[in-house]
Amino acid sequence: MRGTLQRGALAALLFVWSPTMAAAHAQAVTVSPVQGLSFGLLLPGTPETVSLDDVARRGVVALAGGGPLDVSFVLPSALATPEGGSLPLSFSTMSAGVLQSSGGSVVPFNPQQLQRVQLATDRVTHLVLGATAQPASTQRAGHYTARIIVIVSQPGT
Amino acid sequence: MHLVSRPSFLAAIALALLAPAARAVTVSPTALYLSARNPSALLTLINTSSRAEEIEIAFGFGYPTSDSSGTLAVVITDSAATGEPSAANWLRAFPRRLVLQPGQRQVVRVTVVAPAGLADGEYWGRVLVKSRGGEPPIEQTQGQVHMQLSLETTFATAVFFQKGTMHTGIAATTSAHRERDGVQFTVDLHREGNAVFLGRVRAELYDSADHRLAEAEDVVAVYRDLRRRFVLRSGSPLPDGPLEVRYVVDTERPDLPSVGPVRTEPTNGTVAVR
Repeated sequence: MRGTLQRGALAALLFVWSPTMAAAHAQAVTVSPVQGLSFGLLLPGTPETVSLDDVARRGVVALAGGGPLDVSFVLPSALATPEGGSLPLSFSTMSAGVLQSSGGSVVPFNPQQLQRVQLATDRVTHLVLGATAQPASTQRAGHYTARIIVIVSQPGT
Repeated sequence: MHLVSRPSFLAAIALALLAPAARAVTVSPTALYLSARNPSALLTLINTSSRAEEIEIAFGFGYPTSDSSGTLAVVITDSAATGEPSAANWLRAFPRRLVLQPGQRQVVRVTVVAPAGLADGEYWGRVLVKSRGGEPPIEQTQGQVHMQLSLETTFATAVFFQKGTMHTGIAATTSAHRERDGVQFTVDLHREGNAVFLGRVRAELYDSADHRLAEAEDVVAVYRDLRRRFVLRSGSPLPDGPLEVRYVVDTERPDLPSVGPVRTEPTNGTVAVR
């Protein structure tokens, strides 16, 4: 192992007194949800898909910072009720995308896989997310809940 | 379960899986190094949003793996599989739960409490900084239909606990072949030594006149084995003559903390394009 323990302790002290410096060594990033993913009215037995180009209904998460960032999702397969009810939800290999705020089109990717995103300090990068809801023809009412987890990590760690 | 008419239920299903809120937490650094003699490190959390953030610190295990096409995945679990050098159960954080007010900065101390008699080596884990926002999840109610949808963002920070002398290395097996619009370069990386190889792969495509036609580079974390695949594209059609890919795999990682990562000599090579 390289480096000495004394140097390690000094580095720790620097982190205490100057978090900004710590961030300079390992790019600090900020993740901000900015728009919900909304399906609107669903019809029984009729799947409803929100595409990445659906500006009004797609989900949007903003990423700010510099350098590359790895992003992955933990996606629910359904909304569920405490009583065991379920409303299926699915994501295709094109259900997520990257949109640079400088313009351009959405570059789709598979939300089931790790995605490398290149951030630039002079702009905000957006992740967009679509999905398909699949209500059954016999879908029952209830208290349905679900959660999406967005995991970010430093690439190559 | 409440029963309502189907039209009422259907009208109420307006899913909002991502909370439409301007909330954000910054976490740094993005990798922590601990050792037997220096068993704690600090994470700095900053709330850059305009409202309070509820933060929970947890620990998990997971590292990058790849499939046959070189696609990466990191599956983070609460506990590691048998035989994995996991430090997740030995990690502690103080505080574990906190509320960050807008603009507030908080330092979290991460400490490892390793069992006695532990064998020398490197042990891995992830600090999971979970942020849920200071407001309750979105709720949508119509009639007796009730939906509650939430979003959680997690910063997964790698933690390395090093005991004893660390060394790392890499063995690379490569291949390259022409594709319609470039050259596909595949490198299979096998880690040597007892520490994770955190480095980068750089590949350059040359023609027989030693002109560089294309290049590609990416960072890699080789915990055990990893396949990476690059497509080297030139701005113009590739020449018909012989081509070769020159590559280097090294531990040049200015994005990581200067103290902690184990470094080694670069591995270089050349592979003819089929």
